[in-house]
Amino acid sequence: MQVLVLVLVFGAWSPLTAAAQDEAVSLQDIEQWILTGRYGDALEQLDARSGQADDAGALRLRVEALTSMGRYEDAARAFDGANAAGLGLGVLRGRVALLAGDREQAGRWFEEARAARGPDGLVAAFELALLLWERGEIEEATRGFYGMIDAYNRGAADTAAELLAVGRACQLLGRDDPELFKDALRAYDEAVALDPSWPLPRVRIGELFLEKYDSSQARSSLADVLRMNPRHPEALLAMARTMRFDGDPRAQATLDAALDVNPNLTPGRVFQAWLHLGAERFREAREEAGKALDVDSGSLTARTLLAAAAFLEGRDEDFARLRDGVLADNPRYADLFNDLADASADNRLYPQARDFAAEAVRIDPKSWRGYGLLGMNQLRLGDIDAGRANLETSFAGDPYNVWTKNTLDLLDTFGEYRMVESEHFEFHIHDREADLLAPYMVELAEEAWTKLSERYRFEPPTPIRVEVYPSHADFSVRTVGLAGLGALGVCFGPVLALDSPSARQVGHFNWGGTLWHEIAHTFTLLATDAKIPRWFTEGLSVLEERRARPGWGDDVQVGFLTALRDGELLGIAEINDGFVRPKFPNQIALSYLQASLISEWIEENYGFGAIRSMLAGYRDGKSTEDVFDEAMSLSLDDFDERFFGHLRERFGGAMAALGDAPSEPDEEDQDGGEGGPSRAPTRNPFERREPNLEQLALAAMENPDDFRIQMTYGYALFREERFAEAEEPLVRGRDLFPEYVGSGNAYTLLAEIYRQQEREEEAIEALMTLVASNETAWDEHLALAELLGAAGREEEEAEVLERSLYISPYDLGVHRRLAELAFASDRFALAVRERAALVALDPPDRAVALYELALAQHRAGRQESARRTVLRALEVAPGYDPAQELLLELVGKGS
Amino acid sequence: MSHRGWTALLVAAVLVCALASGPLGAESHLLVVTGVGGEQVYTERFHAWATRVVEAALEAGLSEERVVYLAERPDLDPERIRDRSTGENLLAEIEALTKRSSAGDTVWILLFGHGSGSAGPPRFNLPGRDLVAEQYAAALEPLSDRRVVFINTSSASGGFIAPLAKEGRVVITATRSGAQGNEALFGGYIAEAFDGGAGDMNKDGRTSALEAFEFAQREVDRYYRQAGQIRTEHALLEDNGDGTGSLEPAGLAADGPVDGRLASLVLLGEEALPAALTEESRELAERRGDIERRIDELRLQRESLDEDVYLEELQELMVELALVDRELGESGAKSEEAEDSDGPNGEPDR
Repeated sequence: MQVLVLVLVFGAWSPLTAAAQDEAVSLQDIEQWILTGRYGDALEQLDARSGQADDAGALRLRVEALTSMGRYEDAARAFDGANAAGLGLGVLRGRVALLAGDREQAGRWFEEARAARGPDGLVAAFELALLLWERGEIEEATRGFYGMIDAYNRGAADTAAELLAVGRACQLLGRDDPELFKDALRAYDEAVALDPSWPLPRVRIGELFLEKYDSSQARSSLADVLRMNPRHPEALLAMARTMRFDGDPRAQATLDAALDVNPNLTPGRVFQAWLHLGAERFREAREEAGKALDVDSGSLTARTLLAAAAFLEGRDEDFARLRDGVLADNPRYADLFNDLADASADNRLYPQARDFAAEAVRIDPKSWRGYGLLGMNQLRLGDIDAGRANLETSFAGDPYNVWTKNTLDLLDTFGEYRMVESEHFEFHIHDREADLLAPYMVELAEEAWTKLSERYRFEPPTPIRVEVYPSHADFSVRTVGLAGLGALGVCFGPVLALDSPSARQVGHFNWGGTLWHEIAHTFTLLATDAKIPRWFTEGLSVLEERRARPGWGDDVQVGFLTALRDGELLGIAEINDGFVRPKFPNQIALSYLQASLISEWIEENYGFGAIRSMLAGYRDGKSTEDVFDEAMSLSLDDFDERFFGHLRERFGGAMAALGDAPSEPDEEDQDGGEGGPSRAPTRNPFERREPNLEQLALAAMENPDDFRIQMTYGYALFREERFAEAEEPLVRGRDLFPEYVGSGNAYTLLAEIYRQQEREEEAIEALMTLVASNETAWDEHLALAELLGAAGREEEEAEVLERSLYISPYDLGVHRRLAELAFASDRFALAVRERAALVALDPPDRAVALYELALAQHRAGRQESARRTVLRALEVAPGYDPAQELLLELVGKGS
Repeated sequence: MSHRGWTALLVAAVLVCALASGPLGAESHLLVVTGVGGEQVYTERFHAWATRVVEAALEAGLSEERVVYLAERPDLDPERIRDRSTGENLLAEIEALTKRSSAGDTVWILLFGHGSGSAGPPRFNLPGRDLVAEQYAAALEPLSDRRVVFINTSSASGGFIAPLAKEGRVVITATRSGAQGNEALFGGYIAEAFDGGAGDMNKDGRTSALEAFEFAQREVDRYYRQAGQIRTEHALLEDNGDGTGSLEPAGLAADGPVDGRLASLVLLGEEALPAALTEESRELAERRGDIERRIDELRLQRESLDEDVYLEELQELMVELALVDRELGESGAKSEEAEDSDGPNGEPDR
């Protein structure tokens, strides 16, 4: 349907007649208004010509203005009494009928236009072929499309409108010969060259690029159109789709703008419905699709959406009826199943997505999109070989699809990965870091398995496949097919993918927390057959992180408190929107935290049994209303009231200390997505470029309960190394908002002050408090470990160092110290792990590292390993005497 | 002296004769140059790196007169820095080196500073007029019967490889092309490799040019990986004279004219060899050399052998070697005792 709407406009764009140009009110002025989006003004002017029958030029402009505003019935009436075919407007009349959903009448008008052999005869032939295509008569339609190419080759397609039809024909034929995608682009470009002021070819170019996952080119082309006409409905819609593709939060506003101009823009309504569906707002999705069907009752896309909603809501009979209805109208409509596959995958129903995609390629063996979806979902389910084969089929049919290409390129690198198996997991780690990472990952994952299976009373099928990517771009490709994803990890149910700690700068994330988070998803997704809402699975995953280790999981930041204060946090009925349709960049991060606090609150007040009961409810297909009612006897409104009341009570003091200042996005975690927000360190929000200390001192004195002022003043003094004076405002800031552990936090600064003043115990206490909440503060972990070591608190030192490994396992000094501490306390198994890590890090002194590993193995009673390792040490340094002595001892020839 | 020190010393005495191109008793010379820092932080950094190498060389046994340090700012260490590092002074010092050294000696030249190479000929930035790679090549020509190790640790130094490559010469650069012009960290790790023996991978008590290169290469890589940054420097080593540097030189174990063989034999510093090896020590050292050759042969077969078989055979050889080394150590200790009482200089070895 979208195609027809878009094609509509070009029919109205042929040169105006000489007669029209002679009139007092210039049709060229009206044309210009339409070009710049002044549709209402154009109509008004055309109406002002009352008493004067529209000639062909005026009629075209009137119909164009009316259709741009969605007034399809008025547009159809405009033709009353006119011999459209005779005027060369038969195609336009047919398209108006199509927009109103009357396909039969449209066919008749197209046929009449073709028979009249007028200026739109060639385009009429294309439109007839397109109608066949929509009915699934693909072979017949294909013949018609090739007819367009013949016309082009004969030089018969020489108007912009005809070139546009040629381009569209090539685009549709691209499924047979992918080279034709290039020809489509060429034809569109030629149409642009022939009539640079006509926006539609540029819209088509944008759509073609977006179809091939090249959003930057799509944006560029669409931006050209919108610069000229910011109210062009089709361009706005295509731009909204592009923005959605890029995760740009302006997508919704752009779509709203399109629908504001043309409320009957059927593809826009359907797109809106898909957005609702993606946010698990089924009722709104159905309503929006209903609006589309009010305009065009035969819309395949709108009916597909309704089928998807029915499927996701578990309304099996409705689903079957809708599915069968679509197939009755077009038995080859593979996009029914492709869209169902996409919707299923969006809702984490990967097995169902795979099965729908298989159905798509069954009814249309040339649905390259279907093969791509089939392959991707097979990969998500761990069926790598079949997934690769289907992606290769998809790519052979559509080699411009960067999504498929990237994934295949990534699969080509799988030979560089090593599989490491444990009791419940199968890790795939890049060969160059498998030796280092595997022991820690296996240990942590198995610990998570034990704890989570006990807590959830559920055991997912095993093995769970964990893919660890040293390149964030590879992780991103694995996840969404394109680079640029902000997330750290992703869970497809039985398959997890995550960034290796080497994929990001030290201090940007805690890989241990991320792994735990994703494993928790595996439990909640598989325990509910993936019917758990996004907010709940994320909330539980963050909650489980928080329970796993001190400091893991999201922390309360300033932005969260200001959002709470300003009523910007979403209620339980809308919280999914915060994940899938964020209205501002930080909303995803806030939603993660809020969802985790909701989960935490439920557990605290109703016990973990309530959580399990909720999971069971979702698994059984119950709505959130029913789930909350059954688990807690609370309506959603009551829940919101109680939960927000709890938040206000818990954080009331800190909120008051924030004063009226607006939230500063820089203070917050910016990235987000599956796997939790990135914890990249951000700018210190309390830093002022040229602070005026006198003014700050005065402000601090006058506002003793203002967190920001106290911190800003304290930091300014700290920077001046006036440590003794800085302590007081920093202590005040700390006490006003003790949960604040973000950039420029009081604990880090106070610890430094205490160190300078040789108040080591207080420095330790400050850093202890910090690392109990901040799992990415690398420098602070190391500083704390050093202080603990110096204080002789070696057990705690080892514990802090151990936790620092989840931030970065690449620091030789940390492993060395841990090994020494383990050795000194006769914990030889731990010493072996640490010495092995040092070897894996390829230290400068390899012979020594191997020798020390061998020694640890020897002391741990692992003589055979020790023998092999010491031989490796001697391979590097045959004359290294400590290694020689150890070897001699191991073979019974010691001195 | 430790067991290891003695073993290394005695083995070196035999190996130098057997493998290295220089004669027993050949001397080493070191010329260290720091270029224009541009900013104080770089001036101080280059000076610190240069100082580490100078100290490492002195520690390794080079006499003070054979260690020359030219710097951008002699005032940073007037006692140690001989002169300002202008092009004229540098060329004069190379000329003096030519006169001071003899055929078979080893001449080390290390440059710490900034370089350029993307526009015009590759150059190392000196106070005053820069010298380009061709001028260094010309200046080194009279040293063609010495073993020269030329290490340019500057940014954009890759362009020095081709002009300076020559048989019997080791050329090391911090980057692989003149286009890699970002600040290079390689020099700091080269200094670290020599200082305190951090680069001594085979634990023979001294650091070869190859060991230093590999150490620095590895640590540069670690730095960028750990910092999550894009690596902008890839060091090269050239010592087979073909003018093409290697990112991963093969070393002694490989066959054929590959890069790394000569570099593995050139060691910074020298140790006073025992005045006279005893017959017993010489025999043990020769036995040791034989075992090492067998180890090398075995290692070359590693890919074709079953892991367990390989390790069994390796163990046998390593045990044999360890026992010989133990005897060598005991033998060396005896020599030391003898030297302590009867040495020609009346002073014990360090």
